[in-house]
Amino acid sequence: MDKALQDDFPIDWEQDGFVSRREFFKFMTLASGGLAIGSVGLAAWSSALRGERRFEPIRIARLDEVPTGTALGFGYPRPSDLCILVHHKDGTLSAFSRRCTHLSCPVDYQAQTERLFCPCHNGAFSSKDGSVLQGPPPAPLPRVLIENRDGELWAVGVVH
Amino acid sequence: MALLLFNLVLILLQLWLFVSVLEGMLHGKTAMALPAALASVGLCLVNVWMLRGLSRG
Ligand code: FES
Repeated sequence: MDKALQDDFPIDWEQDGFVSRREFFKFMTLASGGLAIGSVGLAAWSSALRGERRFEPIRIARLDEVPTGTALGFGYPRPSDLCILVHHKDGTLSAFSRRCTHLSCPVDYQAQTERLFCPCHNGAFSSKDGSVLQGPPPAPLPRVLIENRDGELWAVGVVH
Repeated sequence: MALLLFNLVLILLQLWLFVSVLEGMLHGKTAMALPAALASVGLCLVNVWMLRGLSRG
């Protein structure tokens, strides 16, 4: 290369691809910022998932179509979101998502023991409040809010 | 060099927090999300503080 040109543009090719520690530190701090933003996003997402959420109400059945000590399956808020309505022997009603919180197998109502049983890994939930009674499920079943409107049962929301 | 290693350790800690919260959320556990986010922001601030010290020094 022309000597004068090299003096004017003194590029050191060996140094050209070198990333200084400071630049690397900057890059890592940027990555750290990205992870912090991601974690804040996860926290925001999880708080949006928690609590009570209202959806378009749907009619499940007439109360007299569900005798005490039995259960009825329905879909809420979408028809593909399996849920189960339980009419307890004491006359009270409760409804839950049917998807086991372990690996999403559908739970079944067992009238003798008053619990919702998951046959996949022998998990069991209380049919009164959805809490875990046995097995690997890590969290209670989401509860479906029910309203009795003149003898008709309506699903109106979900509580996580 | 020590600072750089410390920075790496903090980032690994953030990554671990992020992955465990995500895994917990997929299992329906959301209680850890907020404390983990606060911890992650704190670790990021430590990194920024170290970077500023490095730039000034
Ligand atoms: S899927 Fe229900 S216990 Fe595993």
